[in-house]
Amino acid sequence: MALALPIPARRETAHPLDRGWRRAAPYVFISPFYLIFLAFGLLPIVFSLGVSLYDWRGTTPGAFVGAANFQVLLHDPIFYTALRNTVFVWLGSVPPMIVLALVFAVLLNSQRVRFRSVFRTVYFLPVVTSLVITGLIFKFLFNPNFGLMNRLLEPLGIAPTNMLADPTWMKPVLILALLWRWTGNDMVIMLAGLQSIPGDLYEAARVDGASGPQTFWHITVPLMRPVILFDAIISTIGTFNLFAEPFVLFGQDGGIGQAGLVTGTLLYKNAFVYFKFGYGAALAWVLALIIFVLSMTQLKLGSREAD
Amino acid sequence: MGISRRQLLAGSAVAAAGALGSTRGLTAAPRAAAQSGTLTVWGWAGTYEGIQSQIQAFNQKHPDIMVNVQTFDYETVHTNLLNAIVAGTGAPDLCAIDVVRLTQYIDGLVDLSAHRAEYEDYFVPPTLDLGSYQGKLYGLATDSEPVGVLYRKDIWDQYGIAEEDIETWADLAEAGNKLNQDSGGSVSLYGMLANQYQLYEVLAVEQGFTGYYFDETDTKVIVDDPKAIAAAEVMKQLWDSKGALQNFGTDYYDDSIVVLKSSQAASLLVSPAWFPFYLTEQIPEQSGKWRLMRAPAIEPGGPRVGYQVPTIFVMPSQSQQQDLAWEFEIMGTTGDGARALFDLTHILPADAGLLEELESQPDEYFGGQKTFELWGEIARDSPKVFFGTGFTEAQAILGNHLQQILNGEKSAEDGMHEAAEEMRAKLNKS
Repeated sequence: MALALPIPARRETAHPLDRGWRRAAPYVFISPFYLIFLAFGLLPIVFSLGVSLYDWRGTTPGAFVGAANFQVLLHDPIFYTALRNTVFVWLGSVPPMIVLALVFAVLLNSQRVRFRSVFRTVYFLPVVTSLVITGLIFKFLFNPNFGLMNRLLEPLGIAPTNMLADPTWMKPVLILALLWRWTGNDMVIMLAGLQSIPGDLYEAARVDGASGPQTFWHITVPLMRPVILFDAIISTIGTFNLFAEPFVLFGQDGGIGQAGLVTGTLLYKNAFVYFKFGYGAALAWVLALIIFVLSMTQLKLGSREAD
Repeated sequence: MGISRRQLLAGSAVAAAGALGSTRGLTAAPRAAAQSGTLTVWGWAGTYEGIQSQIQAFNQKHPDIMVNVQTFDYETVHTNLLNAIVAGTGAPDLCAIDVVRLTQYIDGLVDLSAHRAEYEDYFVPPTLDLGSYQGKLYGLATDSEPVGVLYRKDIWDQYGIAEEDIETWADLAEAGNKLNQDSGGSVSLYGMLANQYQLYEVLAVEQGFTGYYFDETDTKVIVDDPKAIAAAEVMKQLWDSKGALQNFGTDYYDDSIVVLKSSQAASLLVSPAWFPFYLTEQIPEQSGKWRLMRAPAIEPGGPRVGYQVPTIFVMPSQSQQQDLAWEFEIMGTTGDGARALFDLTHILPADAGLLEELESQPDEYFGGQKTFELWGEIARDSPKVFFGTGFTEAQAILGNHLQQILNGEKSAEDGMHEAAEEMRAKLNKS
């Protein structure tokens, strides 16, 4: 038996204050994000742009110097050393990291692989490992006296060397550390992308007689392009902001021959060791510009290929 | 840099944390009337413990003053102090800083010069000068850092190298060649890093540059002075010696321990007074085999001194209780406060009375040698060195050019001229 519930009478006209609240409510509810972003995101960004025009050392009022910080930066040989090293590390780490992450993700997405959860956890473990531990692991691995790496290279005729103090080896060591630490992170993003590809496509390809590599190249890779692009951009931004790994492995000066000096460490040194906040801010803006150009280029190339 | 030292001290501090806080006698006459409030002290492990040990004694004189010692890591102390000075609030009453960074804070610190004459005799020279800049006293040192050479006497004896024969750096380089030849290359006399500005700093002091990279007015860069170029040439000579273990690591002091422990190297070229404690902690099995000697001279008969960077306690201008803070600072850095820190760290004290007492004691790790006596002599012979504006940046700049000089990419003259130009451009000096 249906109950006859009283239907509340609809108010024909709302109070003006009530109407105002209804209109404002969504904005009020989303305002915390914007307020926090304004205070801790936008304002510091704008402030840093202002700081980049001053010679400001913290304890005394800064002196306006216009574009002088940018001019000094563009004539600073150490900046170019750090930039060269960063580009080397970027080229050496991001492409192989994306390839490895995609391959691991495809393998760990396959129903044929047993203990997938275990492997996924294992690959992701370096991401959540303390950076101090990462530094120690690599210092042990590459120790000239008892490090595993020298032992492995000895049969290949490569004489034992202190790779952490040898400019030839320092950047490859850093690249290896980045691959070890961050491939798992990219792999998880790739896995999420793979799981959004409809299984019907693979089924249809199998029915049409496509082989495993063919489905990989003609289904997985094209459909994963937006994810790969996202990964490439995020990794590029990460590499140009790289700080922790080279700092732990080679110190704030970038080690012997400054072979381990990257733009992130250079920025840290200028701003937080030398207290040259104007110069540090100028460096940050130049880096932001470089990252913007690289990201836009990647986006452009990525979307052109998609077309 | 003192990173190794900081790590060492951190370990020691944890181990001995429970031992601190005991009541010791006052060493300074009280200068303030009874007041109330809180005195805040910031420091990192190995710096604040002397001051902390005096809280109880201080409270006997000032029962209404609460002392709050806050500890952070080295970088955090420096960053927090800058933040507080910039913000105009939140600075402690006393703060430990690395003396090389003194000039970075100087506009936010109290000039303590008025107290200097009264306490001149309390501190081993040149520690009061180290806490000073352009004639004004800003801080009191907790330790003293003369530099010498540490060597393995057993290895030197085995290969016929005698301390008496090493008068100049050239003698040392030659002894390195001999050791390498006689040992078949299995032992090096010393390790060197290509960017090792620490060695340059010893040579600079020997050449009479009390500002290391700058002249005594702190306005002029001197690394392209002929004497500084000569110092770089000495480094090149040491680097080219077959007795040099080149680029043995990334951190001079941390990685030196590895090569000294394994007897790959038989000496430490640049040893500040804190390093022996590192040795005794890390390589106890080599007790009795080590000796300390003065750094060699550049020319026969020349000065044989070097001085590195101690920690100082400064007083930010924001302190509302400057008299009480000064009284507490004196208590913590001299007398029983200095002894408490020494008991914990065994690092050469800046306190003159304590050093005098230690100088007569033989050091078993050094085969009974009276090492504190020699450290004290080196410290007293040291000129009035100072650490000018842009000091840490100058270290990094020189390090970059030194490695090109040592690797033969540039001559000493070209490399030092380029370093000087870079310093002038970046540090606003002539």
